[in-house]
Amino acid sequence: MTESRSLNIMIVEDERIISMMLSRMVERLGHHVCACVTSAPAAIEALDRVIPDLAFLDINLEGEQDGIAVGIVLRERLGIPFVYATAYTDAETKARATATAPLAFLAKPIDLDSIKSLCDLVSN
Amino acid sequence: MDNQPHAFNMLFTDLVENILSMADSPGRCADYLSENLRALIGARTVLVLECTHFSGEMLHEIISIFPERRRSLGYHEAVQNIAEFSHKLEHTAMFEPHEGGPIADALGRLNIDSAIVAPIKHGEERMGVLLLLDLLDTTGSKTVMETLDRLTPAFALVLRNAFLYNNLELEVARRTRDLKERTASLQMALAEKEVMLKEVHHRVKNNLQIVTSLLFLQADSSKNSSLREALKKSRGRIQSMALVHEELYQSEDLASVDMNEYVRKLCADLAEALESTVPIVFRECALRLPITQSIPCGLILNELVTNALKYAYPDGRSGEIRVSMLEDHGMVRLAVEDDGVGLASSMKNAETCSLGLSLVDGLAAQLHGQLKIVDKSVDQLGGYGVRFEIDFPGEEP
Repeated sequence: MTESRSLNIMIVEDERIISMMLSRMVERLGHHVCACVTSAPAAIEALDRVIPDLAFLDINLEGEQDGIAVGIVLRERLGIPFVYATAYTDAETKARATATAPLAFLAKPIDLDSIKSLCDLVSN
Repeated sequence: MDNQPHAFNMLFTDLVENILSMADSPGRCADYLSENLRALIGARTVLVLECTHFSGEMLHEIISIFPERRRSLGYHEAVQNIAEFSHKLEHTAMFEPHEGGPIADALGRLNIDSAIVAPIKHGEERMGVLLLLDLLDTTGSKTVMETLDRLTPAFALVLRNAFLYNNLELEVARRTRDLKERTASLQMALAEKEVMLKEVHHRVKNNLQIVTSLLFLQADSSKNSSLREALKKSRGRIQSMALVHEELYQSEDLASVDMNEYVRKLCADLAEALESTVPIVFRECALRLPITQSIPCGLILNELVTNALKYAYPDGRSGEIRVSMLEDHGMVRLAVEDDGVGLASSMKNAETCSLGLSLVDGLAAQLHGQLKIVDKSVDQLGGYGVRFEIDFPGEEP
């Protein structure tokens, strides 16, 4: 196996401390955070400028649009893999999220290992 | 002639009996009365009117008229006048138009030759009036009037009974409606409360998550490995609490935790966090505990399982960790057992795990439980490893 390449990662999370932790974890694994935003419109706007290899999306975000709106753009317009990092959501939200075909659902608390295995999956 | 009062008495007894047997239906009772009195006494028309009060005004409502074809007569204003004036009568009386007086005048307006007016009274209370209009034969009317005076109180009772009963039914209906309204508003309040409670548990969990993130960030920025280790331990403890809140807001009652689900998740999380390959065997249990007990249980499990994972199997030693939580007659036994190197050997780490053990000790006391530590390697039971057992009274969630 070749050494896994360094990925460009996008983080969409409105809880700053959690996004800071996620950034640190990703960086410690040798990847690069290319965008770290707190809302769906900001994420969609950032996607005009950067092309991530993988995105971590929180579902419940500040503002009217949730993380699923970003997932749709990633899936349908750009074909970029993404992961929903979310706490418990209701069945209806979960169904909407599943319909966007994410790479995975990452349960909170987020731990380094699951981040690592997801990054490895994408980089190989 | 002696026979007549006797026959009348017989008939009278029959009438009273039948009236009382129809007490549940005043309308039917009045119909029976008007029809039979008409035949017995001989009158063209018999009317039974009930005195009602509507917004302070007195009205007389026809409850029976016989024959039915003369119903329109009952609506004549003069009939209402007679009924009103009947309130002044103490006893049944006979009237003829030429006698003069308000009732006689009213009869004149109705073109009626003679009439018997029988007040229907319950004590001093006027319940209504019975009118026998256009008598066919006025002989023996004295007996008739006496009889009617004895008969009408029985019918008055029926009317009063129905009136009270009707009021009671109305009251029951009103209260039922009130109760329904109150139940609905209570249910709404309860639903709102549930939503809020769920939100609170969600928030608590999110906040605990932020706390663990802060600890991660702090550890990450430190170069001191023992500090990093300490922060990591704290993180694990807080995560075991966050997991309780996660289970809570997914539970139906929002107050108790499914320990089977909780322990299973906690063990999986711990194995993952410590990157351990030691298998954790968890015996399934059907137990729910309230938040007050699930938090200490979670913290105890966190300490014991973490300890076992870290110290029981050094240098790639093989074995498993057995976790169980069993309930018997209200007593819960929480047990964590390994077949590793034993307490004495792992006590080399006494300094690092002393906080852990004193936490377990303190939390066991908080649960009003007994902590028992069996070091199988010391007790020479032929086995290895340690068994921690805490027996505590389980609270109903």
